[in-house]
Amino acid sequence: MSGTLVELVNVGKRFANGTLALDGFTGTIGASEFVALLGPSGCGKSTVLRLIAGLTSPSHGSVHRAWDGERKAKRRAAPPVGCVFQEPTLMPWASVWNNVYLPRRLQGMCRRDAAGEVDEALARVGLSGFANAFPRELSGGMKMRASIARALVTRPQLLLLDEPFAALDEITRSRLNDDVLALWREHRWSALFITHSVFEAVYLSTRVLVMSPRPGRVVDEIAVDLAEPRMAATRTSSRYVELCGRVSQALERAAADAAEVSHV
Amino acid sequence: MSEDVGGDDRRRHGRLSAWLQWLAPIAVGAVLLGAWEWLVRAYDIPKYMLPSPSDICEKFSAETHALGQAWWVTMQTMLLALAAAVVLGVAAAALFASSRLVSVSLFPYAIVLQVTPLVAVAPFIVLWIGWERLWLTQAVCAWIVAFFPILSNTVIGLDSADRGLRDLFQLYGATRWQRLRWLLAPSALPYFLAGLRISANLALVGAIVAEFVIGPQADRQGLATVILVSQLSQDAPMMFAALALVSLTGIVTYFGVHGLSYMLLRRWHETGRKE
Repeated sequence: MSGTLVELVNVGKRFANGTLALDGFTGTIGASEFVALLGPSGCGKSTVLRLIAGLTSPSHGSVHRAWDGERKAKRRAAPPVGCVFQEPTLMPWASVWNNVYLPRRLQGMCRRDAAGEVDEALARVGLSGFANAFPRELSGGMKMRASIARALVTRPQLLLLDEPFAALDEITRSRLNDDVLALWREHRWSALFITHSVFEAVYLSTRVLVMSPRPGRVVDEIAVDLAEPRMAATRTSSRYVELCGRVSQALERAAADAAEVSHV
Repeated sequence: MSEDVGGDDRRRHGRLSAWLQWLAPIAVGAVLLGAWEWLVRAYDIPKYMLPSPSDICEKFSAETHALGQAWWVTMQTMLLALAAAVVLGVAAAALFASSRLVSVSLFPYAIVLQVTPLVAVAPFIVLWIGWERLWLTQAVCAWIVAFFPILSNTVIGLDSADRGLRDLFQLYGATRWQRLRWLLAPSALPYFLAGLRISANLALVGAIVAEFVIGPQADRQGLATVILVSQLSQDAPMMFAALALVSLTGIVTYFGVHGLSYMLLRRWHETGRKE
């Protein structure tokens, strides 16, 4: 697993109600890679994220994480992972500062020791002036920024983003895409970005994993070799358009294959 | 980084409503009392049937000391019962939330407390606790009535914590205590306060009913005793004065808990919003 942070091998996941969410899912996330996981709604993308985060276990197959050995040695140590969910999932009763402080607080760090990291994380997402605000005083985009700051405060090796901008308007979404890319360029953590937008997947990632409809598995893998840094002009470049076309075709093929199998 | 924040219109609208919230019930009260006074005078209704508000006020000022003492006795029972309901209700809810097995095993018995008629069990509680500690018997009776809303609401509140936040706490390896302290307790707070709002007045009703059922005592005469004695002596103005005191206490208690809720929730919860 040299250079590989996470490896899922032939993973299947069946829920208690009998639904088979994943079947034969195989994929990797390498160090400093930005991987987009793309697939139709309900194909098990979020289940992959939960498996990697250790929030659920596979029914069969295996999930290897680079930090598993270290965690076994130190019981209850949190994984070096940050999570940003579809909703900002901020604690409404706590200020933005306290929300960002949460991961460190749960790791037993006192406010004084964590203050530097929290302030830095807030500054990174442009929320320094809103440290004392409560979540309901923020707009949707600002809430999502706070959520990103919370995920980054522990300086994770891997950032898991589960359709974080799906509920935002196009302008805010595009701006947050650029902000996440800028943060990634600066810090080079690995990222798994779950989305069902072809354009977002291609714009953000270094590699796109295309999933089949449920039960989900990786049916195609497309390397994204767009020039860095990516910006507004990238979205109109011929290479971007070509890659979007390839990814769209892969998605359509996956859907067609699944429909064929279900008819048989 | 300049997205929209907050809304002033809502706050201005909230201030207008606050005035109306005070004025409207006072106006309704004044109209009702005026109509009552007019009815008694116009139809010359005898005092023992329906005393007028002015008769009740007269009695109130003449018997302020006696009514005040009785009120304080009832308040002591009520406050003791409410404190016990809060402590035991929250503790039981935390216990229920800690284990699904504990919850399904014990919750039906908590419902038994809610549906048990106080009138039927009060004599037994007297026997169990003893005649020499009737104050405790009264408090236990009032507690039985006040306990369930706090338990039930807090259980729902503890269960209502956001699934995403639960995942986050799990991801960062939170201990049970951290989960309870930083996630479940704040999530349950609005529900607990809604339960407290119901329980506070139930504790008052429980304290009075318990005194009715157990009977008057020489050394601890609460508002129920005042009501009973004035009924027997056909002193209707005194009875109505005691009832008015119960009503006023209920209203003040309700708005007291409402104020507490507003103070604790106003910055983050919908129920703390003044719209």
